[in-house]
Amino acid sequence: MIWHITKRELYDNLNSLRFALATVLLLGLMLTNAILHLREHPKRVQTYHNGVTRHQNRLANYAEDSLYKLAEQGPGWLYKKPSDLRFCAEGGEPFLPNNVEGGFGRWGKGGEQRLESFWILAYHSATPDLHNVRPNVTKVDWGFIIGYVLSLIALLFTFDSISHEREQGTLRLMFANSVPRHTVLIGKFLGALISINIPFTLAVLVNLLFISTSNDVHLGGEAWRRLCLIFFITLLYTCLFLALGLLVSARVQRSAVSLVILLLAWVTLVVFMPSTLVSIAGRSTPPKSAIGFSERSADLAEELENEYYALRYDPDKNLTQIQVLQGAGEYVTKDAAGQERLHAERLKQRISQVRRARVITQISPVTTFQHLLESFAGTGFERHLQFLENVKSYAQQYRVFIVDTDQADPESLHISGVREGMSQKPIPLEAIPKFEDTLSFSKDFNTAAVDLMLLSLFVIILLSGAYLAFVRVEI
Amino acid sequence: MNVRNEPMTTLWPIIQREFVSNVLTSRFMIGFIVCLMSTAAAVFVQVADYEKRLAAYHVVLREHQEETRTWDLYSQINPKAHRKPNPLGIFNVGMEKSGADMVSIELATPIWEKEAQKQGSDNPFLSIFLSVDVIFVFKIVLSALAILFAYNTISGEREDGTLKLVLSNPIPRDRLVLGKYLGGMLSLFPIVVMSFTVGMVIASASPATDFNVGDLLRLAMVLVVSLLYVSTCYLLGLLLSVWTKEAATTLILSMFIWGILTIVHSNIATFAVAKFPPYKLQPEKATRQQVKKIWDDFKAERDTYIFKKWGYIHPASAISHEGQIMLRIEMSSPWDLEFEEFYTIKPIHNADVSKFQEVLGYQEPLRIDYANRAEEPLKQREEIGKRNGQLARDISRISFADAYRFAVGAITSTDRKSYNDFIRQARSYKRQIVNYLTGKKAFSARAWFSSDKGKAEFVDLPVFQHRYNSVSESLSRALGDVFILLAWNVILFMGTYLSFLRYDMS
Repeated sequence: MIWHITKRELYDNLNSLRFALATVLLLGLMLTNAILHLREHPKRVQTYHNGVTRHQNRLANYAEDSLYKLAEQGPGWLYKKPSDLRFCAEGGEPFLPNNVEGGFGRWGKGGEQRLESFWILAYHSATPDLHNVRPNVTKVDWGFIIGYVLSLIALLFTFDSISHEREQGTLRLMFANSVPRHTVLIGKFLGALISINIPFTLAVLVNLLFISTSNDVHLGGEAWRRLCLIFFITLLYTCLFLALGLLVSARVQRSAVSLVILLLAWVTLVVFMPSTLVSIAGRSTPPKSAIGFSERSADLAEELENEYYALRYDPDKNLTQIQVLQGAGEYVTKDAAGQERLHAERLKQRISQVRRARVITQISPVTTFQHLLESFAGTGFERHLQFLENVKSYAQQYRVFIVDTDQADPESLHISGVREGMSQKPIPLEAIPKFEDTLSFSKDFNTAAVDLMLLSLFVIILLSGAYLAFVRVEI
Repeated sequence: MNVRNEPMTTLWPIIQREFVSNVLTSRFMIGFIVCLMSTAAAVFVQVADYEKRLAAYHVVLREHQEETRTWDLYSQINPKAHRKPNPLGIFNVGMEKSGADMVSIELATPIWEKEAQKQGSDNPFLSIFLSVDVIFVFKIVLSALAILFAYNTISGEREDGTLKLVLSNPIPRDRLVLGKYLGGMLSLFPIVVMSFTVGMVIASASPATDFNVGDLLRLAMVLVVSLLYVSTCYLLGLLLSVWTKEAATTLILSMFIWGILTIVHSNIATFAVAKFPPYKLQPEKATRQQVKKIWDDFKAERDTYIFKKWGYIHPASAISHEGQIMLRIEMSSPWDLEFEEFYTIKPIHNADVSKFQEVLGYQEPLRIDYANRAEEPLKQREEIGKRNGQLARDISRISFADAYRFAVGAITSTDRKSYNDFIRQARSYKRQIVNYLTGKKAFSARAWFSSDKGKAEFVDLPVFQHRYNSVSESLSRALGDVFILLAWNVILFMGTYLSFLRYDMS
């Protein structure tokens, strides 16, 4: 019986104007998405490869000089690997930096003892708004197409599912037969789900056909696995809006009222809730301004410098050469550690502010869905945090390598921070750890688990609501 | 019956009926509440953002004043042009949060939009989230509401059978259409006005917002344009209602058209122009090469003149001295946009710098002149970017949703052109500074390079005042888009009217 009702719904929808319009709209948007991705992605990949090459050349140059040079200059700019699935979710990537500077030189001091500041990890900001003064646009990615357009289509397919039948009197006829109400509801739900997924699947296939047949983009096995998951999440997300549509349609007497309520609910859930909640949450604890940061950085540098000069030029202390080197080394390493801590603190503050905002916006199912999409597409904020983790662990690895190599040199004084105190031997390039940004599917899945559960919960609640509303429908 | 009053007597009951039937529906109540709440939320958020921007603006102004007091030499002069936050940005953010908000005026550096800076810093990660303002609320919610009010005006009555009854009375069809249009607009009117008023009340409650008469006038114009936009959307719904036989079909069709016009169209237009720009930019390297060539010409001209007139190969050679002298010249890198030389003469007391001053009096104005010439290739580059942006906007404004956005941007002075004005004002401020220094004969003054016999005086230094367009200028800029909205209104109304005249009841 379910299949019978589903088929009836399906045929009704297939012959409708909305089906034709939805097909045209989705096909158009998915084609646009594919064309834009094919145009943009090769450039991003090229930038990344250039960055990696520069990083390796830099290491090669300094390795030829000495271990000290490697320790002082650091690994240089470390680049984020662009995701092959960026067409699925842009995830605010233009506003997230695609690199971290692992070689932020700040000062050099002459005099008897030549000193150079040691490298630190500096997290710069991406400010595309500064130079991008074109009209603001929403990115035409899958996140937009599914999150905004497909959800609206889902509501347009279900707003009159029950109320229209009630208006026409066919619902009374149906209930006169011995068909359980839940069977009718499931039939209607499945009918709408299949109807929507026909144009959507068609559009997705056209999109992927364009992208995968291009020579510039290579979708590997893992990418396809991620795409399958994204498709599954899309189904879940569509179910949510179908359930919402059925719920409202069952509760109201007229289709027109049903559509008004659904449309306004859509505007609230999809458009306003994410942005308004973010603005409120994002303002709760503003991070310290850049001016404050520069001042703190300058204060710390000055404090350590004074401390060093007080020790170095104290007439009462008759320092040996080794003690001078140790004092200088301590100054340089303390300065680098202190400055890096400041950068890390500011980053942590910014991240926690965004995290708070993201948690609050999860009340909106659209945001939950977009977070999921970003997680599996390997873009967005969580992906950026993964990149930062990769950078930090590489920085740690690089520093350990420097210490170990220095310890292994019997001619070195093992005083970090000064040329005279460290190994002067050139280092073979192969021995130096190299940075490569990687994406971990398991990490992505773990990050997405909560969002996935939340989305499922939303679907279950709304489906239950639709069921209860339909069971209580009075003719 | 008075013949002259007849049109009104037939029209008014139609308007009344349409108004009452709309106001008593749940869509009116829900729409009203959603519109009111979303406007209030948007204004609340934007007011807080504006307060933050304004506080940051005052901080940088104060810091700049303090910095001014530290200048001892004329050559150290580095005034700044700060963009003042616009209180009307609360209603329409537009360019308020994009672009630079500070232009550093360096005499021998061409002003380039790309090199302008953003002062202070929020959390840049927060830019990944969408920000909503009142105009966005109106553009999306009010347009949807207008369509929802209009979609069953004709087709719904036809389905119910009431249209046949109405037309069987001696009411002309044109009056019926006009009555339905006016009745619908009358029911949307309180929603628009109330939402806008609530927004204004919240905005005015903030101590940071101090709306002057001009601002209030602009806001009144925004309200009028918003009503025009709502009218366009209503007429679209009405036209589709006449064209289709069933209210459900009207609704589906309206919603798709609404989605395309409000969300999809402008995105696609801007993307298409951004990705396939009709006006190609030459690589930045080539532009920098052009600038370098201009500076090479400057060096050649300067050196030739100085050599011919005074017999020196470099301005610094004009310093004659007794005993030892240390001359430190710092030059900028050849790939920079500027050509700078800083002279530090130590010890200065036993150096004769009179010739040197004469040489500087010739060199510095020339250097500024060449900096202005170097600005040309940069301006050309900016111009190409602007032309592409303009094309994207022109294609976008086919949709009346975008024409509305651009009209409001022009009225509130938060659009791209107002941002260009800021850069233009910064350039004109630079000319003012140059005139000021010329008037003081600062280029040939000893205080240009040394403060040993008196520091440079900057007491009456012109201060940059960011001015927004006057109300009439803003209105004239918005006229094009207002005209597009008006044209859409006329076309849609005429379309509805003609279609309804030919309406077949069978």
